[in-house]
Amino acid sequence: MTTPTAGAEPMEAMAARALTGDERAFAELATAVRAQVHRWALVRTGDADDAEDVAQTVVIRLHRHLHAFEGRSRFTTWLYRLTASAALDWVKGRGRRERAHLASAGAGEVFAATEHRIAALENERMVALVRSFFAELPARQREVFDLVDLQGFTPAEAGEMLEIEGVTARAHLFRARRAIRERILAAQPNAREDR
Amino acid sequence: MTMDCAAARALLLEAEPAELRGEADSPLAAHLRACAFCRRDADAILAGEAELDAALRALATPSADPKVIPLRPRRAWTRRIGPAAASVAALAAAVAAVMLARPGAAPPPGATAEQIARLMFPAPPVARAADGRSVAVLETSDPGVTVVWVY
Repeated sequence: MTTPTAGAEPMEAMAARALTGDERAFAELATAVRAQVHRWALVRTGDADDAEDVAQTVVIRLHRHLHAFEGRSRFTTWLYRLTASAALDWVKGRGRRERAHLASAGAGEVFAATEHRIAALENERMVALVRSFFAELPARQREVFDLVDLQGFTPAEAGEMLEIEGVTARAHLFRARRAIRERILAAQPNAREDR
Repeated sequence: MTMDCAAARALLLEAEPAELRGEADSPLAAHLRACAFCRRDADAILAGEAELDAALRALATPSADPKVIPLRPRRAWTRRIGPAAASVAALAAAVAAVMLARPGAAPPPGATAEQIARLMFPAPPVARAADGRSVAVLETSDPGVTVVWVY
């Protein structure tokens, strides 16, 4: 996976320009990362409304802490960790009792605040798949599956972003694949009767 | 075809996407290139995962693209009254400045909050932070709500 880009310019280059104090560059960087950060926050928290709030917080923190990015890791990795930290803080702020799904998803109530958005998705199959994704997979499996199979990062890159070993990331990935693919195949009409 | 369908099905559940597409150099990929039944399952998995990706993208679409306008800290005129008071004062001043700048834009009687907000904020307000602090102006999907964050 190469570093995501906004238009033709890699985020690293944008970040480097923003680090020089170029406010326009920062605004471009903030705009460029927003959708990605929002996606990560959604997968991590399991709640679209929380994800939007987390994404806004990350933009603020990005402005405040960009100078701390020293280029030792890829910008994407650094940004992911910033997002994870913001998501954790956000959920803690909402109270453990109400938001206990961050560390281990699996409860149907994960969707309570997000249901209206899910119901508006394109088709019923998609709705069922997304519900399953959030309700049946633990947060860590969701994150690894999303990063590797849907967004194109390698398991090693996902491990670095999540601060876990690559082999652990692969174990999460295989479990997530199995769960999601079984669900997909089960939804296929006459998928197993033909053989 | 050296792999039977039962073995292929077991492998399908954990296979790499390239294998599912039949592109890899592996027994499973070879089986998928030759077996229409298993090929159909592989295609279903790929399509389902693409749908999941599209759904997550849709769910993660911000309700509005905020315009973040971080401004350089300026020399403080409020240094003596402390950071917290400075934040409040700066925000109040920014709002007041916008209101004062549009003396003729009085809302009609019975105007809704949204109408009033549109009169007050036809464009994002420009805010300046006190010394050592920053400010961000965030537009939201609600035209009546603009967030001014002094930190």
